Amino acid sequence: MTNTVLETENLTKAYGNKEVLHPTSFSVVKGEILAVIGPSGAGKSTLLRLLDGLESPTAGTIRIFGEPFVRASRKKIRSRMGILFQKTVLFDRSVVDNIALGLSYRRIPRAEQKRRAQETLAKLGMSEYATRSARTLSGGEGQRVSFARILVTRPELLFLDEPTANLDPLAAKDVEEMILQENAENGTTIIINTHDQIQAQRLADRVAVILDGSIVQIGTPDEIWYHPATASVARFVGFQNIFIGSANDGSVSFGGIVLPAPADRKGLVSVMIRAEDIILTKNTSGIPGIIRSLSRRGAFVEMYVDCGQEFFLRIPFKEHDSSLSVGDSVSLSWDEQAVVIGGNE
Amino acid sequence: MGEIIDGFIGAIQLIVTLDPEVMDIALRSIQVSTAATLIAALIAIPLGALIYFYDFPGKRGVINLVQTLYALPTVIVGLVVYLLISHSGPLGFLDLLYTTKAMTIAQVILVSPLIIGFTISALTGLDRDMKNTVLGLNAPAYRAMLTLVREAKFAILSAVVLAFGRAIAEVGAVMMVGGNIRHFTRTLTTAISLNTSMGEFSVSIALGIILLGIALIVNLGVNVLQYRGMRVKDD
Amino acid sequence: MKKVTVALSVLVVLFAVVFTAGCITDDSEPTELLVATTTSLFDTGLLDAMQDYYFEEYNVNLLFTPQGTGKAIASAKNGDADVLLVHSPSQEAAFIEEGYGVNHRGIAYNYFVLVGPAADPAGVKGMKPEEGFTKIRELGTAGTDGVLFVSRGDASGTHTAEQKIWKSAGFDYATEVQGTGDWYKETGAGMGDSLTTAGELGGYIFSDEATFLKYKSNNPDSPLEVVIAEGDSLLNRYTVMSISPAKFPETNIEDATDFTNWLISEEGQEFIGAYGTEEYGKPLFTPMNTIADSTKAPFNIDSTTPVAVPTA
Repeated sequence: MTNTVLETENLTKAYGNKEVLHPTSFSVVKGEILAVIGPSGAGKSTLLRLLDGLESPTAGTIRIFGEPFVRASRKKIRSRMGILFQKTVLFDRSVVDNIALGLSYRRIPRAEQKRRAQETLAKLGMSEYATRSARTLSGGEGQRVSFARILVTRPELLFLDEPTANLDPLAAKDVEEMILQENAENGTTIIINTHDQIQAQRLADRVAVILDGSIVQIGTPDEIWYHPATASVARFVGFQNIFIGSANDGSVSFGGIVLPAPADRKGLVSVMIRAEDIILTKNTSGIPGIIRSLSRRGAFVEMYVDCGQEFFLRIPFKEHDSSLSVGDSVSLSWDEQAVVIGGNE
Repeated sequence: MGEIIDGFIGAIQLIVTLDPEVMDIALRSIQVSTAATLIAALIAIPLGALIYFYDFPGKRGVINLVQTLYALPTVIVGLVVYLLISHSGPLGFLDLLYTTKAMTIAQVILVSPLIIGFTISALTGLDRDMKNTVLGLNAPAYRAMLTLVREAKFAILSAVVLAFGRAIAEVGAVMMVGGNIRHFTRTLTTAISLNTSMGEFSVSIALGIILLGIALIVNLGVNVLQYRGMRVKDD
Repeated sequence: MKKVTVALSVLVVLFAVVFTAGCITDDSEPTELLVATTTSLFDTGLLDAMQDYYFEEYNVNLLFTPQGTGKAIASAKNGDADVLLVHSPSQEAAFIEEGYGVNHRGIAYNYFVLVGPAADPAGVKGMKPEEGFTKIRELGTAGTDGVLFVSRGDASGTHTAEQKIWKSAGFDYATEVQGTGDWYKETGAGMGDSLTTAGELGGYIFSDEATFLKYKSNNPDSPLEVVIAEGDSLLNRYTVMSISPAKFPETNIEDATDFTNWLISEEGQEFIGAYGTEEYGKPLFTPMNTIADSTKAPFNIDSTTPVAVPTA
């Protein structure tokens, strides 16, 4: 209970009549990294801007550090948190003064500001940049300096809004390392918006999926990528084979195919299988089907196989049997865990 | 034609010999307009920053009004200030009429909207995330504004220089509240107007050349500032 | 700390600028006398010369604000002047009647002149002023080519004198002169500007003699010449008045009284009489002390009795 750093209840945001964030409740515990993913326009940025106080909610509440996050408490709570944006923000002054900016707003002696900024810079391995104008930094260096400017104020809670979206992969990796290091060394709680699912998996303890203004699922990366709660989450995290089936008494049937299902599932459900989890054989041990199309996509071969329902398969080129062609009869199978039974919507 | 050439030759003589009357007038113009511009900047930059920084109902309307006032007719400023500081006016007891202070006040009123408006657009021209970053660093409001104004300094400074140009080139208001009194409130523009009516074209041309020279320097200043501002953005 | 220093130095510079700008107005030693005056007096340069001289001799700065007599009187009524130096008998009388003016004295005179193109398209040369005006109006309203009358149109002393001539010629100024066609043009400007306009247009214009002489010497190529210079209605009388301290207690009545007495003194009269002789071959203004008794018509003004600060 005391471990909760941030908590929302029915947090809602509307612009005029348009509700861009439907009532949302979740919480984040101390030391956790929560990644918020979702297609652009789904409400990630709005959610973050509400959480960091740059916008005010239409309804609902936010509690941070156990206190309601409202106008009156904003200053006090803000002093314990930090915000980093997608766009690198550098001020027209030296690198070290950029880093010290946040400190200069607090009643900290100038020498102490400098010392802490230099120390942070040294940690980044950028000491020789100290007196350079910040405008001369590369994109990656700039974003690290922007980040350092926040870290030097020792925040307990960090909001990162697509911090690596404008960076090349190498620079993005540097920033990711800073994120992990900060979290590991100082136990800083971090909420990060990202459109990069691999980054989310790499960084996050938990992931929240926002679709159409609602958090539809929140869970560990394993849960999100291997047990999506709904068909739309599944689609967003890369499931290509999604069928509507009907579940009853421990089995689910769709298009003439019957598979085992948890006994508690009843009625309409979604049946979801990743393309790369489907095993194709020429024997008849699995579900029979006919190859409808076949094409090479880089290191993979992609196929549509008609088994009464059309399945999409992605097979590494190295494992592909080159004698196969369109019209051939094949059979499909998969590990039982590869099949996810989710809610219907 | 002869008149223009004679006037021109006379003008050059007046300038080269640093004619005390001409220098007195030029110096006064520069002093009054410099004081007016600095005072206006001191009032208008913080005001512009406040309008930019805070969201309030009617903000759009306020900005529109400020922009409309860019074109505030100088004679209207002159009239209003005259009515206020005339000895029969509400501020008559301050004894400001026909002083350089009155002229300074009129020019402050004249150029403040310009500086307010340009300060707002200079700040609006900054990246929105810059304001958010400063807010995120939990800056007190005045410190946040100071940081942002400093970021927009080149654009704001060129507005100030432009304001000086408008102040020093203005004739209607300083004529009305200054009275164009020799050795006291006569400026480049009022002197040009008067000397032209008196047919003293040499003096008019000399003063005109000085005024143009000042305008040229002002323009150069704006260009340098805008160039520097642009270079900073490009980096 | 550095920022504080920067801010402080900006303030210091600012105050230095304001202070030095202020210094020019607030030189504390000499006193200042605010004189509202007419453009016809001012444009001749007489007052510039007087300002320098008077400051040298008496350590009083004469602050002349040149404006039309109408505006000069209006600003005096607002308390924005200490002394009025004007030339409009009817307006002066009204001003004194209303209690604003005291210590009225005549200081100088010259003559108004009707000026026109040397070719004299209306053929009025040598006529009496009223006859000339009537003829110009007649030809002008008939649309005769080249016959124009340029008027100050600014309620100045000159404009008032011009209106008086229209009236004595038998015309109602507002209905029979103003707005009766393109021939009658009002500039609304000072004497010098109006002369320039008349010169450009080749029109007739009613002017004081002094300003015209000054104009002519600055514009020797101008087509304008004096066409009518004789007639009782052409007298142009300049007078001085102090603003009544009863109306405006803060008015500088001491310096105003001294200035008035200087103007009517031997020294002042000589100063006025001497001005312009060198440049124009004749004085621009005739001092009032050349008249044996100025209280008689057509001058009707005391120009010799020294004035005193009025007692309340």
